[in-house]
Amino acid sequence: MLAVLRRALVLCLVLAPLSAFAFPEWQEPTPAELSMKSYAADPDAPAVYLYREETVDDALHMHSTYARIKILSEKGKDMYSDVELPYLSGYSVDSIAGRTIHSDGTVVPFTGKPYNKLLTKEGNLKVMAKVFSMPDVQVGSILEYRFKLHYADGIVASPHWLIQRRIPVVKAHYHFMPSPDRDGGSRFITAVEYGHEMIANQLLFTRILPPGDNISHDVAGRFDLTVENIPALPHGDFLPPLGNFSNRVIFYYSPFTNGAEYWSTIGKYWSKDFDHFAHVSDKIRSAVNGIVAPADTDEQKVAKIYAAVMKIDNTNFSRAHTAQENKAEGVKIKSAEDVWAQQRGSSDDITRLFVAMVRAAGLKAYGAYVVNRDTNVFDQSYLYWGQLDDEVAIVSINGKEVYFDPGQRYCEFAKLHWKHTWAGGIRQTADDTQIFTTPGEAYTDNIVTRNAELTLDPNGQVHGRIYVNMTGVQALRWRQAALRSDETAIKKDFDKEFQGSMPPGIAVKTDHFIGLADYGHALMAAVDVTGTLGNQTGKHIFIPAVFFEAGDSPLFAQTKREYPVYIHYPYTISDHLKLTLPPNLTVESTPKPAFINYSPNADYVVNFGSKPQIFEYARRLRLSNTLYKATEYPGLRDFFQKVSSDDQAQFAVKVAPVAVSASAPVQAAAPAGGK
Amino acid sequence: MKRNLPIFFPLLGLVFACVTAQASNSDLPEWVTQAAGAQVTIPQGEHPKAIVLLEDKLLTVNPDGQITERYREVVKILRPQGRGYAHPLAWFNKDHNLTSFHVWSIGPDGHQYSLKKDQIFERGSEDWGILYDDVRFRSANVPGSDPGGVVAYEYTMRYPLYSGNEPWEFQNPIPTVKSVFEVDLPAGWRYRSLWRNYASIQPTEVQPNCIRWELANIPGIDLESIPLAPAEGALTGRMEVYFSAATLPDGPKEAPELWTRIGQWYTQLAAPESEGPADIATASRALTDSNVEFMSRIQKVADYMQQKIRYVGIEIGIGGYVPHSAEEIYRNQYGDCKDKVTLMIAMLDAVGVRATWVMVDTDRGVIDPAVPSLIGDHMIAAIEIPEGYHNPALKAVVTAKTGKRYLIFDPTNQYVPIGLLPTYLQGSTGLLMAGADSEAITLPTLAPDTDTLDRKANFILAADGSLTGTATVAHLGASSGGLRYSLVMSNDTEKRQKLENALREDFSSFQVNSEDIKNARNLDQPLIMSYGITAASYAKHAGDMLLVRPRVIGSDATALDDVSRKYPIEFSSTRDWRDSFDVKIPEGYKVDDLPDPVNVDTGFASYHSDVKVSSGVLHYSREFIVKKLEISAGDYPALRKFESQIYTDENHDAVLTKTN
Repeated sequence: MLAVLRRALVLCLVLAPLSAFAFPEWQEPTPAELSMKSYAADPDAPAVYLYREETVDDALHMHSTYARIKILSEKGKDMYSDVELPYLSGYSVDSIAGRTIHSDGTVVPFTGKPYNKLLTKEGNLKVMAKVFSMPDVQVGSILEYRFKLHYADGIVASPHWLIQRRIPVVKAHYHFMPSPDRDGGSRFITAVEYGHEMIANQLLFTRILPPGDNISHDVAGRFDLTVENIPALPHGDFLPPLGNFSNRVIFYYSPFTNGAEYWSTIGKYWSKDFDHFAHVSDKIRSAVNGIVAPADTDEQKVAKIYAAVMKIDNTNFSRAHTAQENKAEGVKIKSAEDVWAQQRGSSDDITRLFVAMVRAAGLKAYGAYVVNRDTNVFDQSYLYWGQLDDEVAIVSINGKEVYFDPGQRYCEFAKLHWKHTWAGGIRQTADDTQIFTTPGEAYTDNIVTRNAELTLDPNGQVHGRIYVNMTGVQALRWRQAALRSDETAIKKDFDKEFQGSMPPGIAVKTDHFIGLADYGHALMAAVDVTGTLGNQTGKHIFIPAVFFEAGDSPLFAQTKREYPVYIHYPYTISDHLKLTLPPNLTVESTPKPAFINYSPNADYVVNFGSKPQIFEYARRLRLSNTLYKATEYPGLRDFFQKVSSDDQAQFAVKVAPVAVSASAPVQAAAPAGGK
Repeated sequence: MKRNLPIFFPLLGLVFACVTAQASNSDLPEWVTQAAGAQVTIPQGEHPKAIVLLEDKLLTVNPDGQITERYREVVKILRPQGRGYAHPLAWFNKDHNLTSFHVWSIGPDGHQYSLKKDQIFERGSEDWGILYDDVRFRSANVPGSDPGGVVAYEYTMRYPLYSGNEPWEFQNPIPTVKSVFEVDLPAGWRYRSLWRNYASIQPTEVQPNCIRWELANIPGIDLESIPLAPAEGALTGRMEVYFSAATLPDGPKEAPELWTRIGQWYTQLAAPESEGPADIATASRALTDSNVEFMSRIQKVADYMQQKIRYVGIEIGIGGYVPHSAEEIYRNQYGDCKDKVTLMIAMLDAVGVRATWVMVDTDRGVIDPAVPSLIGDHMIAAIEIPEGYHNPALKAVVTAKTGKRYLIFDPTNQYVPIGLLPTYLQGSTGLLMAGADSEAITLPTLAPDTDTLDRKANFILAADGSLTGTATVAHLGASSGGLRYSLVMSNDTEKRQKLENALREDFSSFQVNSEDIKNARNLDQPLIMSYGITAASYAKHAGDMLLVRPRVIGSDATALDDVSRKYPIEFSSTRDWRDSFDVKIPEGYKVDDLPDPVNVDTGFASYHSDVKVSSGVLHYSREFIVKKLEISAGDYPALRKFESQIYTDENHDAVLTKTN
């Protein structure tokens, strides 16, 4: 969007805790506010905004904030007693005032001085913060403070009303007087996108408000909103990326009046920029000719090109080079041709090179620009290009569109990184661009298989090797980890992670990986196992039957869940273990096989087999659905608890009498590796 | 980079990998190219992420006590993760005036870079609880910082000589090829040096009164992934140099006298700040008065400091050492550690109790009694106990050389009561700030029975393997501080989630039926967590047998690796943990086999457990006592064996079979 507007947006994001223009007088606390011990609508709340007011006059270049916060617990005291107000150079924060009101009504005015703290200074960017601490804050206190933010002429800073906050809001009022510049009062450039300068004289907003709440807009152009009883932002594990779906109103100045026009126009600019970078030059053609053979099928051509770009140093996984460095090396990366010549580029550079090369090979290939699903959901109604994160590629092979993620080094051929699956964004088409969503994944796309052959000796010592084969997410994760560090380090990391699910007494040590740089095959880890296994009680020895999960805990512990559950990707885990026992031990009993069906979301099966000196089991866990409503949580939790319970099964081994010198009791649980 | 231990490379008989940087001539300073061109030997089997080729610190001391420091560092990156060790860094603040900062690098391909001013960035420091700190740092994203690349930087800085000593922290987490420390003193000035964790070397006088120390091939101390490791700063080699225009102490009293010198410097700076105005005295006397029994008096003031005075750090220049005035702290009702002590001194004084500051470090072992320094990072209080006064509740007591007894107390820690001492301070060294009577003191290590955990539970086991019952877990003592804090900072939902997460370690399938927490803020009372639970499939069927783990809740074993141990082993605290669980076995079942009892005493810890059956009830009891805070590396095999026995015991099953 616009350079200036972008700057303004950044400012608004920086100013999270804030705002009144003509300051309201301090509000006198009511007896109910003074005596308040908890907030009935959310008894867990550590504090509540009794009132929050943000007033923005973009014509006067001023934002003001007024906050009244009731502290309900030590955590609330910890969260809100210190105030930090960041601002950029060109802006200033002043008129800071505050007071603390104790629950008995005693007023302690803030008489300290706010400090001016440097957060960062780099080139022309300087971010400072005014910091101050409220006086004599106790649980039960009401904290009140206000301040103003001023900014220079020539800057517009439309407000982001982030209504939903970390704590509930009892009542809030927002007021916005837009800049008259948008009506052409003075010409200002607010949008520079892909080299296109546009006058951003349209004021737009995107909003997510509680039912019944509306923004009022008067004839003078002023916006007002009053909201009440806003719950706190969701927080916790396994949450969908709800961040941009909280209650909010985002105002922004735009050159456009509607989404169709915006996405189409900026989409064209982006597409042109993409194609300009991905220009099929003679050098690109020559490179492609050196890679593919005329007799290759289309798929073979794409596969060879993909293999070639996968070898390029992706600086998102190594290190972005400085301008000085590039200059010293005579490197200029302005086109796909440059990326190929230098064998180095960013993720997006490499994606564009891939598209250029595929086009050079005579296939139809398109660029696409999507959000990262781990943090964002594409919001078409918000005319903001910055919500898009990464570029991916689409190639038409034999009439079918296939998605590629060449910017994710070592991503499997014709696959996307999970964060780019089910992801919205914009893509090129044969003659235009369009909004779209990438395809999803199935549990067959992300498979981990673990095979172990172990031997238990008469002294209770176990040894053997595990082969872990990974495709999809886990393979990509470890391959990319190796790019960021090295094999020595990831062996240690792999051990640490694997060790966590091992039975007590077992130590694992990764011997080697096969295929760390070979995305075309499953990644294999060969892991050596040592230690002791099983517990002896009198005449019996009991050994964990589900070796690979014996040390794990159930995935979901919490009984209650208020929010949806979001598991990033579907997967399959498939295990097989063969344990050979010494001659003095025989399998006495094995657990019953189990099948847990949580159709259509997941299933689990485990089977056990034995011969006198051999114990075996096979287990498979498949998860196909990744998003669960809060109402579905009990079923999901129940499934994983049953799985965990079955995973804790043990099998019994009978000890045959042998000469004392030949054997010793099985000692379990030597704390050999860290768990 | 600073701080690290005296491990000697086993140089002989090993094969070395040789590394040489491809430095070519350019406008890089000669000291950079020289260091970069040095041949480096890395012992076989070691894989450092980076290596310090050169650290060179030159202090020029002016007769007025101003120091000009010139610092140089050259680091070679050996592995991708080594980039983290090759960040040029210059910290400064109001008193530490950064006068120059230059960065150079040599890429793995031999390209040489000299960074310009616009490539340098500056950031403010961010520390927990510190609202404002005038400390900033300059750094840069350095070209060529890839494996094989070399990063070099130099800064100069001017600052005042605070307490008359400066450290040389020559040992790092990565190996150092060469480290140089040079002090250029005014004519007539004297110096002394003291070493810790490293064999001392004799300096050379390179010019009149310019003294130079140089070390080569200093091994790195990398504690990553080492269980129960002491703090890095407790292991690394360090030299402290003391200088003065006057005579410096020497001989056997050298260290004590140097401590006194630092203590005197601090006391004269801080003491005026503790002189509180009348309203502080009034507030103190509103809490208690001089006639009240001593323990009760100090308890009231301690409670006030812990509960009312919020931790907020505002540090400017020497304000990193010197507290704000008691008046200001009282008015704001907030302050940092030294502020809290200062206000406490003022408030205690108003009710007839004398107290002073004690400089400590929150990492045990960092302050060395034999090497006086200002290295501590925390300030606590020493409260003078009246002669002849004794109270069993006062456990953290030290006796100074003056014969005075002091109760050591940390008012910053809101969850360890007066009388006890936070575990991270126990066994450490502190500097008692008492003017001419200042001295290094050893903070007490409290007895295991002051730090207890009692788990009691009653369960009923059903024939289908499900378990239902109630448990009570009581924590008392310094170790409970962390849990108390965590619970106080949690709402009801979060408390339940913490409980459920903890129970996940003991049960694969469970339902919490009730829970209750008592005394999280009543520090002199046990923190009691009680809950009811139903765990489906707790006992497992194996053929005709029903397997039940008598140790139902709580795993106390520590996982240890089998790597040979180089460093001492440190426990978080001494303690005494006791379990007592009853499990009523289902009708129609009898006990077929029970785990054997365990009785182990290693000297540093003991463990006893026993399972009995009586009237259809399995009774499990155990006691686990840790008696020492630190043991030597040579004790590691014994510790492994000990932990192995705990693991085995914790995971043993009792075997039930049907009665018919």
